[in-house]
Amino acid sequence: MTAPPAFQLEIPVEQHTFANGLRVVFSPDHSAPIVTVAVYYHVGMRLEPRGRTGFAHLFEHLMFQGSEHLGKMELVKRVQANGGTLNGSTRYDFTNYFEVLPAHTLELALWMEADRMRGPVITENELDNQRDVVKNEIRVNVLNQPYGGFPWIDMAERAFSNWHNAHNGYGDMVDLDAASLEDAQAFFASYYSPANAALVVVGDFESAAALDAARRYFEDIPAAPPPPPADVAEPDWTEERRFTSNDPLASRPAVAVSYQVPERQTLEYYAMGLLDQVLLQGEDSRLHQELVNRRGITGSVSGGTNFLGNMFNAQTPLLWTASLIHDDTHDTDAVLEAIDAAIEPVRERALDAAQFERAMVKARSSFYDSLGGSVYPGFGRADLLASFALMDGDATRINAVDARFAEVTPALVHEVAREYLRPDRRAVLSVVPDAAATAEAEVAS
Amino acid sequence: MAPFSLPPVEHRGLSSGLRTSLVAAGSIPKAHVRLVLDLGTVHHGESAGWLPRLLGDYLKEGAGELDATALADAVARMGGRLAVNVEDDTTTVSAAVLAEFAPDLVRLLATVVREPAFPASEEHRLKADLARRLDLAKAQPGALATAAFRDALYDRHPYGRYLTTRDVIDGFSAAAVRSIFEAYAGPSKAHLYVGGMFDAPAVLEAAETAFDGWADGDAVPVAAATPSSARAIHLVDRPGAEQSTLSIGRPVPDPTDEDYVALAVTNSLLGGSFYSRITLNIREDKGYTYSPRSQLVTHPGVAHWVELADVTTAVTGASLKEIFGEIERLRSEPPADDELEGIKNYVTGTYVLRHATPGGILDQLEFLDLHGLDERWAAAYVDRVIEIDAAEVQRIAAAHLPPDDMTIAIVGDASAIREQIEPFGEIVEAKVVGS
Repeated sequence: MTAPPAFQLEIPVEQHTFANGLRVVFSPDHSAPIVTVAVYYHVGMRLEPRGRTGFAHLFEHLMFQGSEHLGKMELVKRVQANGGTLNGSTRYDFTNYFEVLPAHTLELALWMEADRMRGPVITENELDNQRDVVKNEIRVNVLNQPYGGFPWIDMAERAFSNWHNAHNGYGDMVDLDAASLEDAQAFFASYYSPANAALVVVGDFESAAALDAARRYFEDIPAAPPPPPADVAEPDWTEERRFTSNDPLASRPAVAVSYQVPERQTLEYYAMGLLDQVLLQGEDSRLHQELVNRRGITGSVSGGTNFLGNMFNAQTPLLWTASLIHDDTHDTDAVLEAIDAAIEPVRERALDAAQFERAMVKARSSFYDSLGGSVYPGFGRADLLASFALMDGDATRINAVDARFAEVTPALVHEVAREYLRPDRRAVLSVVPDAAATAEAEVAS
Repeated sequence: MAPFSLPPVEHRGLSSGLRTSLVAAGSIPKAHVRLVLDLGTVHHGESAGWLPRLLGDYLKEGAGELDATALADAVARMGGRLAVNVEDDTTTVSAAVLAEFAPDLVRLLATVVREPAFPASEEHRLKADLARRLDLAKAQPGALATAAFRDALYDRHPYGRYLTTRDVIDGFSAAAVRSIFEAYAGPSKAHLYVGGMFDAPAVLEAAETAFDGWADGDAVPVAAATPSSARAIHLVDRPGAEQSTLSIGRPVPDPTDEDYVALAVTNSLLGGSFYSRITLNIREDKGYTYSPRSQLVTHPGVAHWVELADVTTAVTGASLKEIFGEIERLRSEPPADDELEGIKNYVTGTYVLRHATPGGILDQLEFLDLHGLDERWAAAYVDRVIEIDAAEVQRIAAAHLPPDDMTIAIVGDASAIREQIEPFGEIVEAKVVGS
């Protein structure tokens, strides 16, 4: 084996739980005079109410529209006027809000996040405005773009059978139209309690003073019971299923193939992370080599374990998905034959030592990118700390990632490949471009 | 606020003439290595810039003793992936690898640019990939809007040739790729940047040896662009489109001009940040759009300002009215002091944030080098922003953002929007190379 790396990473992690149940994680880093403040709520697209698809995301927008002491957009104004930047996003299992600011403005950021943790204070005007903004977001990212829902919405809708996992988390326009202020109050009451949230601070600060400030602003936010757990379990797939979607804006056919993955935080899940590196990540990967270099079917193959992030910031069930856009000189069967040619060898025999070692190096490097690859300094680290705190109950798991990968053996990778990457346990989605769909319809009639 | 100082950068010239810049940054044990070549889409005008894109793909097809697979494997063993990004003015060959592999990566990048294989056997496949990318770009409203806008501003200069045609791609060859590469690649037209965590002496030693003896080609400089703008609507019809994709703007001074920093502040206030006037208006007040934003797009010696927005089809005309209304308002009255103060803090604060990640720092160093600016310019940036007052912002808007000669490009459903947009300028059919 290779010598231990000359550069090591040990991330400081200080954890507290406030009386109201709020989890607080601090991770000082004095390499730049800035702080990142992130608040994560353990609710995402999976848990929104039926008949209100897209609501978790719409609610994220409403959290920028005003709270008790902050008028509409005032949080944004104050972050910018203090030299910072901010964002928020809605994922499968959480909704996050974060600011990156000059270090001396930490207390302001904590105060503002605490103010909105007490709840949005908004009227019909703000709801209607953000409803329109969200509809335009869906138009620009999905409806008005070729391959807009491919594969993340289109595959999940067809391949999953549990509504929580299958429904379109961006939302149906009809459901968005039906969303009301009462829905917002109910959603807030169910899911935005301190006990269902984590506050993370990363950057250039002193822990004792930061803890004092956090207690001052957050600890008297009223406690509320955390939401009841939802059943998001997905039955094991037992056959290959093939689906098609017509895309009137697409100009070339496309294929995505999805497989179920092992449960989060099991050793098998980390083995799947290594298989992802071997098969799909980078131009050395088996799928790229087979479909791009050897067969010229496509110019790139993309995908991974989580359509909306990485293997660390989502809970299972998830789909490991590879997708590509190709020319009509190949059909779906030809693409699948090439995919099988790339995957089957790792199911037939275990990786050799060199292949395994390369996958381990890529996995470590990819983990470092998850920590530091964002354009928002400190955000990647805050994201993983919050994810481990909310999903696994322990933010120090961030320092156990290398060790978990090190526990995986080539034999386990082989076993996971044999069990999870079976052709008879996958979903296949083919995109039919408009011109082709029209031709097909003519032949059929 | 504490005075801002740039992270210390070590600049070295190697014996080959290659310039290097090294900066230790961050706390993640990865090294970011970029070799930036002065060879961009601008350097091959007749191909509408896409021959350098083929070159970019071709650089990953092997070098020295390594074929494409061995090259990809070699970078992967360091924890990286080889990226070749072909931009308007530069081609960047880069990877981010585990810290301990930084010297190995420098040696490998040297091999990639000094001994590229350009195998003729891969020509057909790479050209097919490029044709597919062209086809996909032509299906995207954003790419079509950029193409129409660029064509109107830069005309036949390569900056105006955003897309190309299948015929042009069919004419490409491995020999043509080799020929432009040999003309343009060389130590006096390249710069090696290393950022993050790495062993600096070992990296410098590796670079010195690996690039020793690299010789320059015989490239000729490209003609300078002379952008111009006239008020007209360049329309690309996209029947049935739910949104209209807008690009509105005109040429502005480039980063070497004394107005540039004030222009950057003006841009942030007008449309370049979340709490900017146009965004507050057409998003937060009217709900016409999701991600409106304005930008300064810079090239050596030239630049343009552009507002981009994808707006609901039914409010295309209303969006134009609001956007031009905000531009006119800033030209006719100075911003309030507290509004300007907030934006100035945003500009200086995010300038500091951009220097807080290895990638951000390298971007800044590249920006300085591309525009021939030095570190005194960078160090003085924050002070320059602080000096700007409301009258200067109004003057900048008045001088550099007159709506009456702004170019408007729209990709949308012509039958649904024609009547709405007619009041805002003469409608002409857009030229989109390759369409």
